[in-house]
This record gives sequence, C-alpha cells and structure tokens, in this order.
Amino acid sequence: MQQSLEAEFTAFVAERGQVLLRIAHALTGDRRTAEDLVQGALAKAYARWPRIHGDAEAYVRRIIYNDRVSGWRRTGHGREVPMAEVPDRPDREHDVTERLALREALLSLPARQRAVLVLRYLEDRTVEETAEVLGCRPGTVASQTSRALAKLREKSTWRLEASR
Amino acid sequence: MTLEEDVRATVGDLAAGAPMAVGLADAARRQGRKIRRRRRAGVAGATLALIAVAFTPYVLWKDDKAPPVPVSPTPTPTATTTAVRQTTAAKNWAKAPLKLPGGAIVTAVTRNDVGRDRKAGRTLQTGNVVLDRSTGQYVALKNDYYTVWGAPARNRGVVSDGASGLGLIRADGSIKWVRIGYTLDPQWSPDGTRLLASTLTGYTVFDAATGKASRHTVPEAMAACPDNCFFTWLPDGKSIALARRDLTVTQSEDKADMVAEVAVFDVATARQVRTLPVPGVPVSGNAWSPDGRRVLLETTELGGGPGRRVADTTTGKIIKQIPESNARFLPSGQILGLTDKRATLYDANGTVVEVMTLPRDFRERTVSAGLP
Repeated sequence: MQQSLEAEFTAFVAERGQVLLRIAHALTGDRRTAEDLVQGALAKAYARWPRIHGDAEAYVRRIIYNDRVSGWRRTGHGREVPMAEVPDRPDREHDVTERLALREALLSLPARQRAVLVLRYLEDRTVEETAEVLGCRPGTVASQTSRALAKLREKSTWRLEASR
Repeated sequence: MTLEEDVRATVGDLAAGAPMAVGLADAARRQGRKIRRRRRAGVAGATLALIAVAFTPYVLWKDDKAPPVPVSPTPTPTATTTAVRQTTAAKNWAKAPLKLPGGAIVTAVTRNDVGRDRKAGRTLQTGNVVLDRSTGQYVALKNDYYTVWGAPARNRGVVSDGASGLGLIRADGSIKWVRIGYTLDPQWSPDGTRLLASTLTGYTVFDAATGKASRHTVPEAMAACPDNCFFTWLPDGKSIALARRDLTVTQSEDKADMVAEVAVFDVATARQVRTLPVPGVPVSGNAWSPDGRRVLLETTELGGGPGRRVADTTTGKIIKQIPESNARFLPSGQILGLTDKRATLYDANGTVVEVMTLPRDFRERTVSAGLP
C-alpha cells in the first residue's frame, strides 16, 4: 500500500479505534470477543483501504455489525454472558440491580436485535440509518426494535419487581 | 426512567466496559496482509488456469500474466536508455515554480507520515506545501491535513483531513470545505478549474473557485465498479471514465476484481457515451494521453501495487509497465513518473527519456505535478 495510505490507516485506527471497540463491546459484552471483532473488521478494511478509505468508518462499522450477526448465527445462542461485579454502595443497589438485570437480558437477545438496539440507543442512529448499516428495510428495524424491547421488558420484569 | 432510557443507559454501560485500543492498527495490518497474500495466491492460481486454456483471449491472458517489465525503483538501463538525459532539480526550490522534465512543474508536496507519533511537519521542508501561483513561491499549509493535491493549473490545490470532506484552498490561503459523502482521490479537471469527486452513487463536480457543486447519480455504473472505484477526467474536460468489472466473475474479499472495460460518460448529463476495451482501472490524475490512444492503468493487485501499466485504448493491449505509482500524461503525450527521489520522463510507449533527481527535501513526501 502507498505510504500515504498506510499513514491514513494508522491515523484512522488511532482516532476511531476506541469508538469501534465501544460498539463491539456493547454488541458482545466480552472484551476479547470485542477486540477480535474490531481487529477482524480493521483487517478487512486494511486489505481494501485504497478503495474504502474515504468512507472507512462506515465500512468498518458495517463489517462489525454484520460479522457479529453472522458470527452469532454460526455459534448459536449458548454463549456464556459475562456479568459485571455488583458494587457495594447500598444507595445505588436498586439501580445497579435493575441495570444488571437489563444487561443480562440485553446480552441474551438474538444478535440482530441487539445490533438494532446498539445502533439506535448507543449510536443514536435513525431507523433508516440503522437499516442501511444492517442491510435490511426500515420496517424490519422497527419491528426488531419493538420485539427486542418487549423481550427486555419480559425478561427483566421479574428481577425489577423482585428488587422493589 | 422508561424502559428505553434504561436500555440507553445499559448499552452505554456496556460500551464503557470496552478494553483500551492498544496495538490495534499493527494487529489489523498483519491480518490484512494475510488476506492480501491469500488474494495474490488466488490470482496466481487463476493465471495458471488461464494459461492452460488454449483459446483464452490475448488481452485477458496478458492482464493476469506477470507484466513484461519487472518493477524496480529506477528504470533498468537498456540500449534505448543509453541516451537518457540526466538532470538535477534546483536545490533552492521554494522560491520559484520547480521545473520538472517535459515542461511540468511541482504544484504541491504532501506529507506521507500522517498518523505517526512524530509531530506533524508545518514547514516547507517537512509539511504540506502548495504553489502560490500569484507569487510563484511555495507555501507550507498551517494546519495538519491528510493529503494535499496540487491543482494542475490556475488554482492552488485541495486538501483532505479524512473527515470534513474536501477543502478547497482559496487564493488567500484559507480553506473552503465542501462536504461530500464519499471520496477517493479528487480529480482535477485538465484546466484546473473543477474537481471531480466519486460518491457512493455517482459523482460530484465542484467549481474550484466557488465550491458550487453539481451532483450526478449513476447507480448502475457504481454497482459494476471494481475495487478501486473512481471517475477520471478524459483530456477533453467534458467526458469522464469509470472502470467496469467483469460481472461474470463472483466478487471476493480475497481477490482483486477483474476489469472488463472502461465506460465513458458525458460529465454534464451523466449519460454513458461509449465503452473502451481497457483491461484495468485508469490511474488517479491525468490518466489519459491527449490523443486518447494511451491510458495509464493501475496494476492488477488489489489497491494497485507498485507501478503503472501503459495500455492501448483501442486494443486493450498492455504496452509497458513503468515502476512509478505516481504517474501522469503530459500535454505533449509524454508520461511523467514521480517518486520522492526522482522525476522520470517517458515517451508515450513507456521508454525513458529523462531522469531528474529531485531535491532531498521531497523525501517521504508525495509530489503533485501540473503546468506553469
């Protein structure tokens, strides 16, 4: 690759790498898996850098989301979900318990539904933008969001109610 | 808190638990190179298969086969290069337009070290530099940009910072930013007054003085575009060209796309007017000879490996390969190849005519060439 393009790639990773890792961690809930996901996407981007460097971030994000969704299909749903440690501050115990319940429910969602939620609620993408990243129709995004929220409500309610 | 607010907070918590980005670029680079090696192995395998097929069309075979001239940093002396003129550029280059072989001049010098740990250069000797045509002197740009492309005539140049689109350098040195959705190298029109930028769905033409944009969509052409997907100007300044991949070949992340032909469009109407049997991607910037009979093509490696191929536009035959990746046709029909050390002038068939040693200051930077 030309030297200027190499430099651009290095600069891109330096500037956007952490943002991409945040997305990947929100998708996977696991540090190692998140690193692998981002590294794989960046490797594909590097191999095609002369073609995609003008819009590299969109390209890499699309790979991260799509690799995650397709990877989930291959490996099935039986993955262990890492849990955060519960802080020992009594005044926040209720919030923390709620948050952990929701986190557990979130990580148990099908990959596509979780990807929709990450795009909508972490990245603040519109329905149309979310559809473009995931390569589906806006109507599908709306229905997946609705189903995901319904599942979260269902899966986390008993914990929330138990904690009240 | 509503459920949606809770979800937003929880997703944010998950994101906040991400590991720190350490060594990502190097690891990705290593993995990316493996992908490229697999791709090259695939191309080599395809070449052997093609050779085994007796009736393979000549052009196709020629495209995949190793080029006839090995790529090396400097031209290999031959009987025809014994009369090559050897020259040295002026050392005090910043005070006047630096003359290059073939009547061209240096219009800009861009840094190659973006993203490195060291501080960005901001001087004539270390930074991004453009020719101020009003004074005839070179000036260093004050801010840090990824790349500066010098205008071939009239204007100063255009910059990119990798995020804000394209920045047109005004006559007073200030920058007018023009936002576009997607950009590879912007292409200066032959007269230096307009810029052609490839977008996701087509192309946009900017007036370099005002930034006024004319946007065009050609989705079918973009859908058939190969890996390096960008429009180039033809010498008439009215037509533009875009390579088209062979749609009978399945695309792969591990292989370079096979180019079937090059489509020519009327830049004003976005209508396709003809196709040329050119088996490659025309290079960025002045790819076509003034008479339209020759074109400089990228090599068959994905992303363009080192060197450029000189092709006949009527037959698609590859005539020669030159070692420089930074190459352009001049109004005389000659080819100017540039590295950070030398400027090499070739005739239209790729035979070396003159080699000029460039100032040491240009090392590790990329030179833009234009006309006085």
